[in-house]
Amino acid sequence: MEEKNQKEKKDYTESEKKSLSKIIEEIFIRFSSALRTAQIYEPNNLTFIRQVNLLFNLIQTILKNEGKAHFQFRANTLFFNTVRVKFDFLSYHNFKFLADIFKEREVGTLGFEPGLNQGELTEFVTLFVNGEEEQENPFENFEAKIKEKGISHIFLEKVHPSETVGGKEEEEFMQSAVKVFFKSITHLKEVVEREKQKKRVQLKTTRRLMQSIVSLISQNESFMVGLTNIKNYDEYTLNHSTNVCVLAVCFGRRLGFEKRELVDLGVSAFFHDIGKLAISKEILDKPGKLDKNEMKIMQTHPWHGAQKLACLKELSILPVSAINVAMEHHIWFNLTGIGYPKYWKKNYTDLFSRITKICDFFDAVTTERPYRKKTATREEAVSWLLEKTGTEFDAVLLKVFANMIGVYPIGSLVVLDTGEWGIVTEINPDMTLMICPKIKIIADKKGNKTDGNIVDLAEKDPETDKFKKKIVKTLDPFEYNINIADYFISESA
Amino acid sequence: MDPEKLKDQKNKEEEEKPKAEEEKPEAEQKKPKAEEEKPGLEAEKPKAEEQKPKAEEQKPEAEKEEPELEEEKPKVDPVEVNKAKNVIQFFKKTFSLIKLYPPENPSAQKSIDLFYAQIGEFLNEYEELIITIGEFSFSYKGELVFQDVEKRKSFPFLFYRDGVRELSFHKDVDKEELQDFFETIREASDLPPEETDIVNSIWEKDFVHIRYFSIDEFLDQDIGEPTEEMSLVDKLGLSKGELKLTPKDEEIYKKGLGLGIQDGKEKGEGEFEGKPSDELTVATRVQAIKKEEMPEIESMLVESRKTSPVAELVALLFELLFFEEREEQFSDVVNVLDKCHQIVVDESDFSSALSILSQVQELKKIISSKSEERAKLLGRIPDAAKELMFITRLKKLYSDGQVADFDTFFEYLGYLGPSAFPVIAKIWEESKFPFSRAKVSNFLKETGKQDIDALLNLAKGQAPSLAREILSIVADAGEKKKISHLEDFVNDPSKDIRLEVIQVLGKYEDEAANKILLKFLSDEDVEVRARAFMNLKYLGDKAPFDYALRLAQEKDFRDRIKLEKKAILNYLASTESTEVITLLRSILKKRRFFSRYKTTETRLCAVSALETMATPEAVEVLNEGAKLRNRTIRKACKRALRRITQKQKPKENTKDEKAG
Repeated sequence: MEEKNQKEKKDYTESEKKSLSKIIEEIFIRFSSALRTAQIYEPNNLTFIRQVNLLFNLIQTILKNEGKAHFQFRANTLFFNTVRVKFDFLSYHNFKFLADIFKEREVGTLGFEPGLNQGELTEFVTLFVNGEEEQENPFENFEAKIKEKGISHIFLEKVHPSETVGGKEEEEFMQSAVKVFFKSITHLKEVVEREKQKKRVQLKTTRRLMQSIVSLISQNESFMVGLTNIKNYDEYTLNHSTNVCVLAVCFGRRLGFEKRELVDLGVSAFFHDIGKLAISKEILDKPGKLDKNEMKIMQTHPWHGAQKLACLKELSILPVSAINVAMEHHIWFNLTGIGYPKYWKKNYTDLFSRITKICDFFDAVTTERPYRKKTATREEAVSWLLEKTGTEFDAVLLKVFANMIGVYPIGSLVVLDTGEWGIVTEINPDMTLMICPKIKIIADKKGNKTDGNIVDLAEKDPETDKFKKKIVKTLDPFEYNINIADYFISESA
Repeated sequence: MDPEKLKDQKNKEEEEKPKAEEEKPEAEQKKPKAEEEKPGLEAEKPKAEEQKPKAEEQKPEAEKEEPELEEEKPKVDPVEVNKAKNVIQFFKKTFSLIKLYPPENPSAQKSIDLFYAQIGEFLNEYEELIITIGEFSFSYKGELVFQDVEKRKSFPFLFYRDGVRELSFHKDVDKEELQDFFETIREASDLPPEETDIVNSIWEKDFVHIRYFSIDEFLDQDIGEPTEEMSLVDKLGLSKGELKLTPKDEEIYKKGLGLGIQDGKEKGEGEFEGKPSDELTVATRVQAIKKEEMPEIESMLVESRKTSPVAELVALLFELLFFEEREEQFSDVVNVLDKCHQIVVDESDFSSALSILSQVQELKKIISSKSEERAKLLGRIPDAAKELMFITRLKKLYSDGQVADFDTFFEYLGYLGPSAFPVIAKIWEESKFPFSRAKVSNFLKETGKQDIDALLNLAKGQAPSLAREILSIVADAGEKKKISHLEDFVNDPSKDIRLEVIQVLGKYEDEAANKILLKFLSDEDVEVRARAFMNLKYLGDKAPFDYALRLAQEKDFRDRIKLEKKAILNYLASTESTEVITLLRSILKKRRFFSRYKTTETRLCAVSALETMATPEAVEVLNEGAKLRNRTIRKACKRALRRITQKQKPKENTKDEKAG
């Protein structure tokens, strides 16, 4: 510690920052690769040795040039030498992997010191990734092991008390997530009421709410996506808007959006259907097809929504993209088809609109509605989306979304080869293992309902090197009268 | 969530009221209660937090009212508190300077440097500086170290109002981070409270060594409770009962099981072979994003980031106006568009402003066929731009050097038409380069056609050079109907302008022009009078003729300056009247012993007038003059005769050629 404290502080210039971000990108990959290899191979394995060697050489170069090589984990953000480690959807799984290990070990800062030797690094990497899951004092126990092994050129600092998530804190997180989710629905309802009464709508509160949503998603994206299985709570549009908002923020996060952009995207998605709230329930909930006149009224909701937003007194703190999204979420990506409205002059749609459009479709078709003959399961929804790639939906964005939501989206009801029933609770961030999500077992092999464990389908039997459990079939929860949302909400209870 | 549990929790909170606020953290900045419960964590917990006088945070007076709370406070090192106090006071001082000066200002920079040094020294010694934020005060380890009770300006209140209750700086904080932090809070303090949220702003910045703790009053107070019981999930019920596959699912399940789902994954290609068709569709179609696709996504983000929000909003508002048929809503959108127009103008973005006005015009045409009322509403935008207040703003922007793109600015002014004349006058007045004056001149020529009256009005009271320019434009335009407006310039204080008006009037062979010129004949300035005579045209109108004749016959006529005399006599000559011949002859032959110079000058003016006349009678008089004793007059007459002959020769030749 003392040695670290005496190190000279460094303020980076813009060009230094650029070259540093390249180094960060490299060490980020090297570090996670070494850790991943350590998960699979023994320390004497050549592949592992090679990975550690590459990491070691890179650390040496960084120490020589920068004087320090510190990883910091704070507010679900990784920093290297005080510069934020940015990730995109390609590196997301690496980010998540590292973040999870830091969280699990309650490590706030990890610093490599000059004098580090390859042996120390090998020991450290092996311990860092393979240590047992400690329920109590994970940091202290891990630190003790490091000391025990005589690793003296790697220092650790415990995560700030406010960062710890685990055990009781995880439960608090879930309670907080559920609370924020329902508060969002209530808030939207209040916004609509206030707007009708021409009162100031509390956009400052909306932004703060989005801040909470972004933070919650950073902490546990899967749980938040899981909450989007809540359907038709209060009015459909209110619940739907909240779901779309959560999905859009997750989407934006995968695309590497900054925090401000995520808040803007969240606000935009949240208000995307605000125009619908002025349409009569007779039309909105009419079973069967709308007649020509009703359809005409229905198709006014994008610009009625946009008009409402554009005329808000608090326009200065409303992102312009919110008006865009309200206006454009029914316009096709290629501006053709039955999308509406047809623009007068604009010949493109906003990025946020294209993102929201995908999330809107996904949530809408998976929600039971009086006029819809069939409610899609979540994986069917992905399939339906993919049918319209490049026409109704932006092909590249759709690919990112499909990668995020997965082959078996969170909330999918599945039956395993063991005969057990489960609900998908987490997608494997490694895209090559998309068909191996984490599953909450809800019924045993005999079909008896149970409060089972969460199993990782990526786990292999070491003897056969085959997956221990596999998904055989996805099921339609409506057919089995299973309310998926209940399983997520109950986690917070 | 169990409502009873919630109730219990609430009761507990009531009991521990001073702490209550801190136990409602937002998700990320959550301060776990576990800190106090876990013995292993206690060492990590800053002592300051344990000793925080929570009552003081919410109600500073509370401390005074409850002396026993004071007694309970553990002792803190007064030296440390004093050092913290100095840093915090410097924190406020630096912020005040940053609010006052732009970020690059040396004083502001120096102040940040000093603060950086001070806080660095403190953090080296104590690791962190945790400031507890009260409504109007900052405290350190329970000791009040800063107070500012004037709500409007209060530095602590800036944080407090948005829910920040603790702000901490940690070791290794760098200067750039501090600079960014100051900039963030400055921006937040510059905006009205309803338009900014300091918590949101700090949170968005992701500072590594600056942390905050805020209460979640927004979620708890500003948003009501859900209308339905939100989380009444019977957890136990979820694990009761039995599930059975439907026959159809059972069949597919068995088939899938037989084919060994997911085994294909390890075989690489064809990994989904044998999967039930519905799953196969999704699984095979979801492809992993490839590295080659990265640039496309990156450029998508870059493109999205560089779009100006205002431009984006404007484009949308036009689309909205295109669709909107409800008048009230249409009017509201027009108001927003008008605001946007004003914003872009204030930002000197005349390209956008121009685009707004041109699109307004375009849309107005489309809309007017559907609704006159809506077209009229849309017209409010250019109308507002033509109002004096707006024009004054444009003038100021120009004077303040805010106009960077001259061409676009002029194009924009073109949309405002003659209303923009005052701005144009300002440009003329302040311009140092000929090209800008040329632009003004072109603008006046083009726009002046729309409203000559406005153009002439502009000439009044302006710089003579501009008035001249305007008058020459008016003259070139040849708008006879507008001549009467020139009468307004008869008493213009500027001689230059009066002369210019005379010049313009001279271009018209018009009685109305003569009528005004006649007024100039009694101008107090001799040059003006002379020029008026020079430009006066004889159109058979008696009044100017009689007036000129009377002047020429006056005793003191010879005492007038040469220019005037020449002008009067030339005018008279232009009438070719016999009365004038008689007059000129008498002047030519007049001899005086005294004032000989003035007499000769007058006689020479008469020679000039006769030459102008060039009638046979005039030639006859000139021939008489050529024989006079006065050598100067004689020579002048001869020269005049020669010139008349020369002028007539080509005419004769032309006649001959035509006859031949």
